Amino acid sequence: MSKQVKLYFIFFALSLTGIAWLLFEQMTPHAAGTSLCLFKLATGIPCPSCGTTSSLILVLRGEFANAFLVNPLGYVAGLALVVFPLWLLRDLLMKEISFFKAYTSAEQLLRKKVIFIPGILIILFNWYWSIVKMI
Amino acid sequence: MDSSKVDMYIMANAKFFEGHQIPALRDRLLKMDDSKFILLQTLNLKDPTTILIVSLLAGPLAIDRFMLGDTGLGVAKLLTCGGFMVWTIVDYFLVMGRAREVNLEIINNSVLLNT
Repeated sequence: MSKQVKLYFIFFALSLTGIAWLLFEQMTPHAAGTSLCLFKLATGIPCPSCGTTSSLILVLRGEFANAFLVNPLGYVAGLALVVFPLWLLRDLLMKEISFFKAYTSAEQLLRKKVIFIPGILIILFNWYWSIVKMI
Repeated sequence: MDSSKVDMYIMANAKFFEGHQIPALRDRLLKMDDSKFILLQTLNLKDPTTILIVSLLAGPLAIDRFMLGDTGLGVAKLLTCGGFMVWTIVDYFLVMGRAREVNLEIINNSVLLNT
């Protein structure tokens, strides 16, 4: 499998799983304290992206402030879940590789110290906040 | 380069490469200039075993992917809680191969580029 096909496959699978999981969580009544996160089950503390689903469900209900308080990464995930599938489909239909090109340049950008050090700090701060909140 | 030098290098570093890549790598190293031997020996190759340990311990945080330089995939894995846990488990089996691939890329990009 070429690198591009692999990348498209991974992102398509991730988006589909994300959407399916969100729909499943929407339709079933949420029992408090249940989690599928291996990290949380193993260590007892939430992982950096724990709470994303709850946050997205709150966004869908229109409670934007509460969604931010649960986990700000929910907004990132929501944006990705809307943009990525559409972008991938567009590339698939038009037989282009614009997503792959954008991904490669984003990767180059992320390797710059000015970008990745603040990024790591933001993720760590958000993680610390999640642990304090005990999602 | 001298064949004994190349064989010595390959014997000492066999664990860093896929088995099927070694014959081709050996051929290319033989054609390489002798002056690049020092450069070849000082390259920082990624140890597949270390990456596997990191993957087992910190898989959901995608640190293994960041170490291998797959920054984009790393961010995707981190923000989806290790790719909904499935990717974490898949990566237990894939990272070692990926590390060996990255090692060959490192050699290709630095030493073998202009031979």
